[in-house]
Amino acid sequence: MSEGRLPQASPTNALSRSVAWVLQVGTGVAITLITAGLAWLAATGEQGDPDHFAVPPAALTRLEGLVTADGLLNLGLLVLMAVPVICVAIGAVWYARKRAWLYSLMIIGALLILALAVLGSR
Amino acid sequence: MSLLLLALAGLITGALGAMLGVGGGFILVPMLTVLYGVPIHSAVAAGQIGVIATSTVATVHYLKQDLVHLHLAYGLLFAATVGAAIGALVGSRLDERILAGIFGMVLAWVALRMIRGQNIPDDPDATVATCRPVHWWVGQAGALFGGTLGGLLGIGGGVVNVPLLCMGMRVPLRLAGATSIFLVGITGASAAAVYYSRGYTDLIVCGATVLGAFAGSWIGARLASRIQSSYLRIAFGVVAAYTGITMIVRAVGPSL
Repeated sequence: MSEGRLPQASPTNALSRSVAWVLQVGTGVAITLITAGLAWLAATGEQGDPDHFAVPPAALTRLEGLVTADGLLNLGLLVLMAVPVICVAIGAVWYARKRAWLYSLMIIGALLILALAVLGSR
Repeated sequence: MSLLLLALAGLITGALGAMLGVGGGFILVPMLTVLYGVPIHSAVAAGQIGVIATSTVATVHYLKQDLVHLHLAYGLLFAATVGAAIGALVGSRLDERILAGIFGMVLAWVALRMIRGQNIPDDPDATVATCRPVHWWVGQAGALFGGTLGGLLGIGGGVVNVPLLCMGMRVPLRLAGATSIFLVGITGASAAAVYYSRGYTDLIVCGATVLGAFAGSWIGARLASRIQSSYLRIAFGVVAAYTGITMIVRAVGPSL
C-alpha cells in the first residue's frame, strides 16, 4: 500500500477536527459526571462503604438507577470508554467518504474485533 | 482510602503516560495494589480506564500541535487488534516464560538504543505534515507481533508502539509518542470494557484515579512540548528497561 496515495491527516482536515471535537466533548461530559458522582459520595459520607462496583448499563436506563452517586459514576466511566470507540468509527466513515475502502474496512474490522473481545469476555 | 491519594496516583500516571506515549498501567497498578491495598482486578480495571483518560486529554493537545499521525494510527490499528486476538486465542498453548524472556531481551535492546540515541529519528520541529513514515509493512508486522505479545503477556501497547514507530517506521520521537497515546486509548477502551463487564470496576477507585489522570495528562502533554526530546528519549529508555527487566524476571523467576 502506498502511503502517498491515501489521504493524509493534518490539523486542517475534517478527520482531525472531528476526532478532537469528540475527545473534548466526551472528556468534558465524563469529567462532569465523575466529579458530580464523587462529590455526592463525599457529601453523603458513603465513600467508606465497600460496595461501589459497576452495574450493567441497562440499570442506568431507569431514572432511579441513574440519579444516584453510583449511577453518575457509572455513566461517566461508560462515556469515557465510548469516546475512543467513537473516534475509531469516525475514522471508518471518513476513509469511506474518501473512497479509501481498504483503510475503511480495516478500521471496521478492528472495531468488530474490539467488540468481540468485550462480548467474548462475558 | 482517601480520594485525594487515589487522584494523586492517577495524576502521576497520567503525566508520565502523556509525556512518553505509554498507558502507565505499569505504574498505577503497583501503586494501587502495594501502596493502597486495592485488589489486583480492581487495580487493573482502574489502570485501563486511567489509560483512556490519559489518552483523550493528551491526544487533544497533540492534535492541535499536529503531532498525532491519525493516518498511521488507523493503519496500524487493525494489525494490533488482530495480534491481540491471536495472543488471547493461543495464549494457553504457548510457554509464557519463553515469550516473556524473548520480549524482555528485545525490550532491553530497545532501551539501550533509546538511551544511547542510536539511529533514533529526533527532529524537534517535525509535524504530521512533514513526517513521511517508511517501511509500511514492517509497521504492520510489528503491530501484529506487538499486539500478540501484548495479548499474551498483558503488557500495554505504548512500550511496543513507540519503538515500532520510531525505529521501524522512522517516525520522529515526539510524533511517535503522540500517535502512540491515541492508539493506547483505543486498545485501553477494549480492555476496560472487558473488566467493566466482569464487574471488577470499583467506581470510587476508578473515579478518583481517572480525575487525577485527566489532570496529570493535561500537565504531562504540556510539559512534553517544553522538554528536550533527548530527555524524553532517555525517559522512555528507562521505562522500556524497567518493563524488559520485569519480563526477564517473569521468565527466569519462580512460577507463582
